[in-house]
Amino acid sequence: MTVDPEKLAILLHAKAQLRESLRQQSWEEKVWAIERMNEMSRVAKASMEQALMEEAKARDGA
Amino acid sequence: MRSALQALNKIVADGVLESYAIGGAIGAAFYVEAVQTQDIDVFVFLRPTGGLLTLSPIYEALKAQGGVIEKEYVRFDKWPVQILPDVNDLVAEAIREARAVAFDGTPTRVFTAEHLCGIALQTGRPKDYLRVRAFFEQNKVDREILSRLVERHGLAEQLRHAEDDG
Repeated sequence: MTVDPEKLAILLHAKAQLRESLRQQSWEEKVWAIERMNEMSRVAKASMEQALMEEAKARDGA
Repeated sequence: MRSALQALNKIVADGVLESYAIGGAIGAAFYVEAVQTQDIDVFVFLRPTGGLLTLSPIYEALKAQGGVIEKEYVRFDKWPVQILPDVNDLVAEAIREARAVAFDGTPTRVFTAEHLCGIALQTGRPKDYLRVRAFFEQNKVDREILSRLVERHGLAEQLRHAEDDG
């Protein structure tokens, strides 16, 4: 695998900028971001459970 | 989170609680980059009720303010709140010396960066050491104040561990 050093530098720079902007957030912004993360986790978990249930149902029916 | 803080402020005003302060990941988010957490850790001075130390009056008072009791939590809107008593001198000191701040216009109190680090060192799970290192990396802790706190509460070895892995 080859890595384009220029692209890698751009990516690393963007990542560093993102981290810095996350660190600059206010307390409120950070808490609301955690709320959104929790909501996304809840939705993902529910949809995963639904998919597993449907898969099990299909297996039982087969 | 505002509704939880408003309820806590109300029960302080009503005399159910002497004071409270936010610790844990939500407290840490006041200073450093946010990490995901499911609850708000609220530390309180526990007063004896009829000779017993119990959290029940606090839970009941929060319920009366609209909180919903769920196992060891009281939920306000999206946030389960866990009430944690002043189990040792370090936690008691952290509650006493917490900073008065505001969340979305609501007054509240949050542990100092040094107390958050001290309590994390004392708790000592891998995620607690990660929290301490985040404070170090982001230069959000006064190392001299932390050193004195560590000395007072016998946490020198834990601090060395956090520094060694950094």
